[in-house]
Amino acid sequence: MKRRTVLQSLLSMPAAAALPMEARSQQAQGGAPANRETPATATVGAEVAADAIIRTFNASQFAALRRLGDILMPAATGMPGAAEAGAAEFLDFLIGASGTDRVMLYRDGLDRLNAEAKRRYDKAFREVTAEQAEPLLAPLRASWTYSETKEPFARFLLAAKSDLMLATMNSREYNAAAAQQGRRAGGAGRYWYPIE
Amino acid sequence: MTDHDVLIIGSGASGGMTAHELTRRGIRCLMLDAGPAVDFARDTGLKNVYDLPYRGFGQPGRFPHITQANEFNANAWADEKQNPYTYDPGSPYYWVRVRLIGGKTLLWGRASWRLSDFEFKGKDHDGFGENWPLSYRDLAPYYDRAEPLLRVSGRKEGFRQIPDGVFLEDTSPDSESIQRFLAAAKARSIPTTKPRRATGNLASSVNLLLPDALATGNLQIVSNAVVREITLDKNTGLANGVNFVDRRTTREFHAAARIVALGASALESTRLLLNSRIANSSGVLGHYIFDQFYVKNVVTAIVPEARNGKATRGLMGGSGYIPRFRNLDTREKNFIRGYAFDFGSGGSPGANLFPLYGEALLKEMAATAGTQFSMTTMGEVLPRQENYVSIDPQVKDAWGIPALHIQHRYTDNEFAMARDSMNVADELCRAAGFEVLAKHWEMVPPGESIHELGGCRMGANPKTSVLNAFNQAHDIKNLFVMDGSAFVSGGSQNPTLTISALAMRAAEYMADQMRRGDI
Ligand SMILES: Cc1cc2nc3c(=O)[nH]c(=O)nc-3n(C[C@H](O)[C@H](O)[C@H](O)COP(=O)(O)OP(=O)(O)OC[C@H]3O[C@@H](n4cnc5c(N)ncnc54)[C@H](O)[C@@H]3O)c2cc1C
Repeated sequence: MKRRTVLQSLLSMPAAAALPMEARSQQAQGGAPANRETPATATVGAEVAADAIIRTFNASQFAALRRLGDILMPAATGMPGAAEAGAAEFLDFLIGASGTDRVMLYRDGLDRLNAEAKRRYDKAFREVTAEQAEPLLAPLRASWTYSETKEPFARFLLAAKSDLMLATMNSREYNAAAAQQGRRAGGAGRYWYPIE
Repeated sequence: MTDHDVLIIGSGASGGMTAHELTRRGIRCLMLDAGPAVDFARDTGLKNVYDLPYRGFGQPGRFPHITQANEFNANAWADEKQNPYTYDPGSPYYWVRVRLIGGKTLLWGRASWRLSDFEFKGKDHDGFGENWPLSYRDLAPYYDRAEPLLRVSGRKEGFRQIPDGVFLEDTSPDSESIQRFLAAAKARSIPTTKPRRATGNLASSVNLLLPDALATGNLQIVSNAVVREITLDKNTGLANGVNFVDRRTTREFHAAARIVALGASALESTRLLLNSRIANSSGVLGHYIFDQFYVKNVVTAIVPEARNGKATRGLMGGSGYIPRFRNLDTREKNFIRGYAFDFGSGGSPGANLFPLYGEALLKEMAATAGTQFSMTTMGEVLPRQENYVSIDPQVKDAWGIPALHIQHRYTDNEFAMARDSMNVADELCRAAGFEVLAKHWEMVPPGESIHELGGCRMGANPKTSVLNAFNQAHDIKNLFVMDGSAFVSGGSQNPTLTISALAMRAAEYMADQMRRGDI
């Protein structure tokens, strides 16, 4: 199923399954018929209705990022993975909105994955199996250090691991699946609107 | 235009307490704050993380220095582009500001510890720096009144380094993991106690201080009033008010009063005095700034028995505090003064701590969910003349007010303490039977603890200090600085309770002086 179709079907679920009771009752009040004088017009987010245009990464970089998402944050135990959560699509936007350093870290890292896959297996990273990816992802098995490693490829992999996981866990799909299992995921919080 | 008795700049902990104390004595106050008032019902609401434009990552680059900012609370912090400041490359300072009515008390963590004579008379203990011009006994009665106002809970222990106070008694039981940790500390003669913390849904000047002050009818608050400078009467040399600019329209105003009391937070108040070119006959204004150094998660451990879904309430949960235990009765070889720890049981270790990925990582994260035990170090930073703020003539804020240049570095004493704290934390966790996942002694950059202090230090000698023991400027008797800039040293205790007690004491003195006609 296309991600957009998944999102549409999520919308037909109890609308804010992940929100705690207080928020749900606020929402219910907003949509109550008594409020016809100033109706709250129902809208959906762009991600629900449309596909993101990929702008930051070229086709082979983006394909490598998607494959990396499959490997680092797979779907498991009924919870969606990076692919279902559109994590790579989201990171194309997020990284593109970040400074040049971060864009280059990602682009160079993804190019390196493709180059290594080509050298070792004569194929693009998007086509490697999880086993084949293992030696390429060796820096992720190094012990934790507080200071960021200076080695750019290792830095890229560590950033991608954390970004892909968070982009997945904070997605609508992940939260809906968690709510269905009676769990809270990235969840809800008190949001501060711009004041004045 | 009405003249007020006292003009208070800032509505946070110090400004709020000043207004609270003066207005109940019948003194008419005008409070100016650079920010708008928050209407919690209108300005905040629950949102799902996936409905945020950046999925909870936050807008990239919006807050390069505010690591506490997240996508939920981003609009609560002072905008760094509108409020720029500078530092030398290689010596970053993370200046964390809130420009709203209530200031940082809208978001603070509420940890509330008294200082002791280990701080007030620190020089007597080890010869470093200066003593405060007051002792614990002078401030104790004000702590006694500030704690109930802030609804501080805690447990009385009789420790000299964090004197007991007037607490809501914390009688909560300790989980098994906490008990094991306490036993490990006790075996090493390291003191422990419950957190001491302001309680309630909100513990801010906006609900604990300003409502009472407004109810007296003696307080007016002007929001969105960005104070540019303090003005002096040319004949008397006394302060006669301030010039301020409306944040939204940039319209300029002058507010007049008999007394000016600054409570804009340590570095902002210092900036205001520097921009006004006053109160600096000592040459000390702007110098001796400090904070507390933090080693966040100096140790992250897991409680092995809690693995695989066994992180029950009986085993996990709860938190506590280790007050300073170094250099009380003995002398360390490598450093003077001391540090404290916060510790907490519960929560889950982050994915970055595991050298794994994919399904193996997800399995390990599920197995260790709720098993975490972590500690954070908070250490004393020695006040040094060479750590200072000055005006950067090249940079102005969005209202044309010259910005600060901040020069603040940690030195060997802090580094030695940080390293010592890691070793102690590691030893304690292992002795408690925890599995240490990660340890380090890297301090966060200066400023990030949000405990900015000094810059207008108090002292008995006008040649080496800016304020007297009652937060009154030596040079201008109707000018007071009520916030943490008055601190001479800070220990490892979070400072806001002391800021509040000092502001209370200074306000009482101010009222007394007014009554006697001395100011
Ligand atoms: C996330 C967080 C956690 C914290 N945790 C703790 C803790 O656990 N324990 C603790 O002791 N402390 C803690 N603090 C620090 C505590 O909040 C401050 O010490 C305290 O608020 C300082 O009070 P203040 O009055 O000096 O400054 P603030 O509370 O910051 O108030 C200053 C006010 O001055 C106004 N202002 C600034 N410049 C101008 C100007 N030019 N003109 C007009 N108005 C101006 C600002 O808008 C602001 O409202 C924490 C802070 C934060 C943000």
